[in-house]
Amino acid sequence: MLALITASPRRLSVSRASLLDTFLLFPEYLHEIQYTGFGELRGSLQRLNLPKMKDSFTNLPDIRIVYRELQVFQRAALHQLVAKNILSSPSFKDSRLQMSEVGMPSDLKQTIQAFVAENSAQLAFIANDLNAIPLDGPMGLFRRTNLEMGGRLR
Amino acid sequence: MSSILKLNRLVVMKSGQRAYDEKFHSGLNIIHGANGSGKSTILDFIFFALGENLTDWKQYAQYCEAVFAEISTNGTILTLKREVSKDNNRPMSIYFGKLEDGLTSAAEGWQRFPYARNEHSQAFSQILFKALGLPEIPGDEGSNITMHQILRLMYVDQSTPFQRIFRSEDFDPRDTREAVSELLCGIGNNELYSKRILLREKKKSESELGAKLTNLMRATSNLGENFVEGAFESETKNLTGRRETLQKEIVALHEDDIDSSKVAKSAENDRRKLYQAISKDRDTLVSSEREIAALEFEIRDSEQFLNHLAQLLKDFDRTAVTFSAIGDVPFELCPACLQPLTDTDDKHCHLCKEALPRDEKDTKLFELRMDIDGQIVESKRLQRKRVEKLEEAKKSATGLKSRMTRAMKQFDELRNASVDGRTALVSEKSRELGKIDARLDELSKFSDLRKQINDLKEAKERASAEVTKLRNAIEALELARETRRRVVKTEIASDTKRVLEKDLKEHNDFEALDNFDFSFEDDWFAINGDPIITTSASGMVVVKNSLFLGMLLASLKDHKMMYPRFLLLDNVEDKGMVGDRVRNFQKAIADLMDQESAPHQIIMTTSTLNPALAREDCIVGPSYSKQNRTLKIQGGALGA
Repeated sequence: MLALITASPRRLSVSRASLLDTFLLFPEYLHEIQYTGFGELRGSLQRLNLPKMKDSFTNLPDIRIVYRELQVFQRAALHQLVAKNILSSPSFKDSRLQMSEVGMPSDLKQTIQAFVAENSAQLAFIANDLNAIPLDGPMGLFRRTNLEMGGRLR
Repeated sequence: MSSILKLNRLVVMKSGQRAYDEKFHSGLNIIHGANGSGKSTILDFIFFALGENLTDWKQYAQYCEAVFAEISTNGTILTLKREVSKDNNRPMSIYFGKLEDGLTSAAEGWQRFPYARNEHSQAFSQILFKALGLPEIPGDEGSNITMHQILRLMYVDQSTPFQRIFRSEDFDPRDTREAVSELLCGIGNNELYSKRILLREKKKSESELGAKLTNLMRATSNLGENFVEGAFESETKNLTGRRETLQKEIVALHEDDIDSSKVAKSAENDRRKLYQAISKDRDTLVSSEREIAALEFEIRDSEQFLNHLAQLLKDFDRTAVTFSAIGDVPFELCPACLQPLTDTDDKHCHLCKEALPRDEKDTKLFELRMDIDGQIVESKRLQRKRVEKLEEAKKSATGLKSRMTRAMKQFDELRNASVDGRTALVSEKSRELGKIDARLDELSKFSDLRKQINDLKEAKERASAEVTKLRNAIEALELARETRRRVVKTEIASDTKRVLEKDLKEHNDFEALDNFDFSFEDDWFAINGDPIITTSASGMVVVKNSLFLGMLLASLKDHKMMYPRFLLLDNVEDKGMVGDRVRNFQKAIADLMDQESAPHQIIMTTSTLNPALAREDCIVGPSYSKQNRTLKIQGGALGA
């Protein structure tokens, strides 16, 4: 989540960060997104050579199950980061994620920077390209990823 | 990151009873008592429990069965157990948790690690190095530096000649001393160490390839064949031509009408035998190919599993660092309702207001990491076995296939031959054909051998090039560390001088102390360039102890140093040092260490305790005597 905030050129809402975080943790799901109208994104994704579902050693369940269960952990993690004043509390109360003025301790900053550097291509795709797609609406990311119902199975 | 080792508790067992059980604390720990009361024995037990290869036990120690040591390694608590024995290279059992829990959990939770690594298990030194954050570095004879080696630079004992720095041992190569000192002083870096380990592996692989090549060349020279390029091809071409001619001749013979019932019967027998052999080979081949397919699948699957484990380990390490970094940040708001917290201070939890625990990490995390590590080692071993098995299976399948092809050709020829008078002639031609096939088969094997030789030559050349490249890279890295070496030497020398200056003036036999110098590699120390510092043995003891304290003091300030901030000093009054001087030296050590806030531990023995240090935060255990020895062993047991 902190890596996403670091890499993202725009301020992230909690729900957008939560969705993008799912793709950062499980890049296999990036291949399942409908890229209608964003053909160039599919091309960029293929060039990244990220693992596909069939290449994964573990069997991943439906994205709706993962997304729903992940939100519990994300919420707890975000509360910790806000309570420790790493993320700004006023922004969080406004459902947005922003670093506080104190920011990250140096150890953590180094770890995050190393992670960002190591996964720069994947992060750039998620934090820039995917992030440019609106979240809601008939062409929004939630519809494209089959997560319109917040991960609930219909 | 610094490396911090601390002994929390030591238990020595004899006949199921605790012959010694004491807790140790941070800072200065003094075990005191009369000469011969067993103080040095306790230091030997500590030394052994931490991984020393001790075999020369003192009289009372050898009656004991096992020693347990609870230690903190960079905050992770581990309990170590070793059985007392005169045998070399004893293994170590490790419990990932506190000693009390380890003692009550019997065998559950304990893991046994050998002294030297093998293909099934990591050595205990590897586990302790990881816990201490020390990188693995190559030592002599293909092994890595062990706990035994680094402990030699953390223990001032009585038996080592006082002119030497390292604890003495029979086989003591200079390279090992250099490697240990570089590691503990943070002179090298991970890149250098990993390149050195890689160089050792590449050299080993280069030499293995060389040996294989020599063996193969020797074997082929015995065959008397000419293995130069093109030698087999021309013979193969000639034989193939002759084979075609023979086949045509056999076909032509079939046109004639020669009858012989005897030959026909014999041919029928040959056909049956051949058919049976082919059927048997076919069945074997089918099962062999099934085995190959299964092995290939298993190898692909295991490869994925290994990648998965490697990624897991990487994620685990990153998570641990992140967890620790976030954990260090105190709560300012309640994590449940995000309201500000009040009445907070640094010594208490901001949420529950309880006193914060000491700097202890979750030992289970370390245990889990070691589990993943162990799983990787074991999976790699099994994968190597699978690959070897696959190569064998493929080789055997190739052999079967060529045997079957030859038999089928023969069978075809026999089947096509009519059972009449022509058979004799056909058989003669067929025999020649068989010989040609056998020779062609042989030539094909020779050709494979030549390919193997060429492949080996290429692989050896590649390995040699890699060895040269690594040597050059290591040389460049070694040059770069010279600056660092000078910095550390200056720091240690300066801190050693600080300690020496505290020695009593009336006994001080090195007053004109301008320069203190030492060499870990060559195992000497000198004042003003002279290794014969003083004619007084007790003076030499002061200097040697001061050097070890200098190392410890330097490591508290220099965070690149990996010296584990742990020191064992046996008898600071060794070699007849007079009482006043001993007591002053003890006080000097205590005063110097009191000024240091960074975590460290010194365990010291003395028979002449400075009364000013007879305080709870310095003393471990009672005052020992020959009647009240450190080891509580019943008299009857000694006769055993």
